[in-house]
Amino acid sequence: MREVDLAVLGAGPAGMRAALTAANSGAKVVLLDEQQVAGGQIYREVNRQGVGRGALLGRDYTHGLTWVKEVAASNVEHLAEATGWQIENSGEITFSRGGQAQQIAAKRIVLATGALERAFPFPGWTMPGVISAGAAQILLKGSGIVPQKAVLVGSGPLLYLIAVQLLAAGSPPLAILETQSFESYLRSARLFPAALKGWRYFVKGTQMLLNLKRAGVTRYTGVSEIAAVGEKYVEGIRFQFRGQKKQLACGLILGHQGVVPNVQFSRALGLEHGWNDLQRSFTPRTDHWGRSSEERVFIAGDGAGIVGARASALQGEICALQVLHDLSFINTAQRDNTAESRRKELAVELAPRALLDALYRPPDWAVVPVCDDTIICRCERVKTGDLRNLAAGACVGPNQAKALSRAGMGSCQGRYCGLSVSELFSKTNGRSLAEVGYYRLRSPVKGITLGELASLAVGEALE
Amino acid sequence: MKNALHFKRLSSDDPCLQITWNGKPLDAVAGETVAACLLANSVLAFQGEDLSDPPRGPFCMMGACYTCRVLVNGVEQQACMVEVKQDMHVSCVDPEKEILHAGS
Repeated sequence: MREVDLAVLGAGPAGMRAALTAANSGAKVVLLDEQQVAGGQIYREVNRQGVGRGALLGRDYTHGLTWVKEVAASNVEHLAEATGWQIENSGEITFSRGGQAQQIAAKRIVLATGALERAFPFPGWTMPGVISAGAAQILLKGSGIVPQKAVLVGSGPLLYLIAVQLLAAGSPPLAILETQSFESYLRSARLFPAALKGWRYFVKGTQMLLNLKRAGVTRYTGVSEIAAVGEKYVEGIRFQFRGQKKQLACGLILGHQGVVPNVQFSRALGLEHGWNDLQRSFTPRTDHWGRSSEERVFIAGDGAGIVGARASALQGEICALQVLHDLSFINTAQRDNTAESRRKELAVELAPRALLDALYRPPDWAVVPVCDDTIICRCERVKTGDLRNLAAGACVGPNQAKALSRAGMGSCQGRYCGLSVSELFSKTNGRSLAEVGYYRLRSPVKGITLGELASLAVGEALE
Repeated sequence: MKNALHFKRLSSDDPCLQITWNGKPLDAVAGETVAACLLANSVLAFQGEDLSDPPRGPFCMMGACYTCRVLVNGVEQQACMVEVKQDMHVSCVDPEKEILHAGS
């Protein structure tokens, strides 16, 4: 089996910076990523945009181009269109590329698999025409197609960014329905002074809201009781606003309740996780170098707790410094010198985070639906009521619910129901999220074919 | 809202490729994913259409939700993870649908 010093999974900001930092100090680095080009979802296909599309997506997006070019010019071996599906604590990584499975052994691993959008289940959310807001942005970045007359619903900075990008693309959203309420603003106000160090983000936020106002995009703040209306396809959206029921006709609903760490690999590796109540998600435990509970495995970026693109990049560098130190490429003084300046930058980037987390915390009903008929597990069409009945009965937790209801057994492997199911159990039977825990995830963490598995055996026989 | 335009291509360049969806020709643009191409052609449901099963469309566009699975030249793939190529044949993967066809 081929051996490398460092294998990085995910070529977003954290992964690119981790790989570059390690390779620039002489380590042999492989960077695995599912997409055709580096950049991750945040800088997706940033090197393929014409000038016009880059401009409408904004400067924070085109910023990623520098790093993508750096990766291409470096000694980092970037394996594009490589889907990792098994990692072992020994450092063995199995991935598929072009229908063939391959393995490499790495002395150290950096998981930089980023975030997923938090599932936002509401009545009708499985109909064609309801997509995640991030998905709409990916369509714009990756394929240059723009949703028409969409209603954006949910909360979080990304909701406004996408609204502004749609506006710049000449297809403003029909309306923005915001689920944060007056109480959300009150709750987060005390966190404002500490967040001021990250003033750059507030300038950007204010500009975005001004742009939307000037363009006449209607915003409804403090909405609840969201439901997609339609028989088979979306025909509108119903909601409660200031004590009144409202309905808008639309064919597209873009939902968003922030992003949460993608824990598929960290869970399948059996790493220690804890409940992060501020971010309302489970996060793998890491030390201040990003090292997980497993010595060989580091986690950088949103996968270890949501921090944003710039902070992810800095965390990637900090992880790589410790990897280089572990493998004796640099000494302690070299590691600490660089780390100190990165940590200072990181503190600035992280300053507004607590405020953002508090302000855009999803409301309870956006995580666990009120209505028993609302589907929680998209793949297996398992309804909230069925899970509530299980939780109120003898079922001990998400893993037993999996066997009894099939929730989390489908092809997304719990990615879009896991947090809702854990929270449902916690709410129904009064146990803490730490106690309730999460689905036990196992390899392969991505769907693979028997042919891919068989190709592995053939490869071994040839060796 | 089934027939309204839901997605528009940003580029004014004419579509220069052709693929088929369940045997029907569709215009495609180089560089876009199969999922994007179907959406731009007003195909919102990739699974379950015309069945008692409710139709399903793509959701995450980043290879995580698996609701956009289709057959690409006979091989099941995530439509959001594959780029269009000239003469690609794309179709529904519904097993029920195939059984229905086989029996009819």
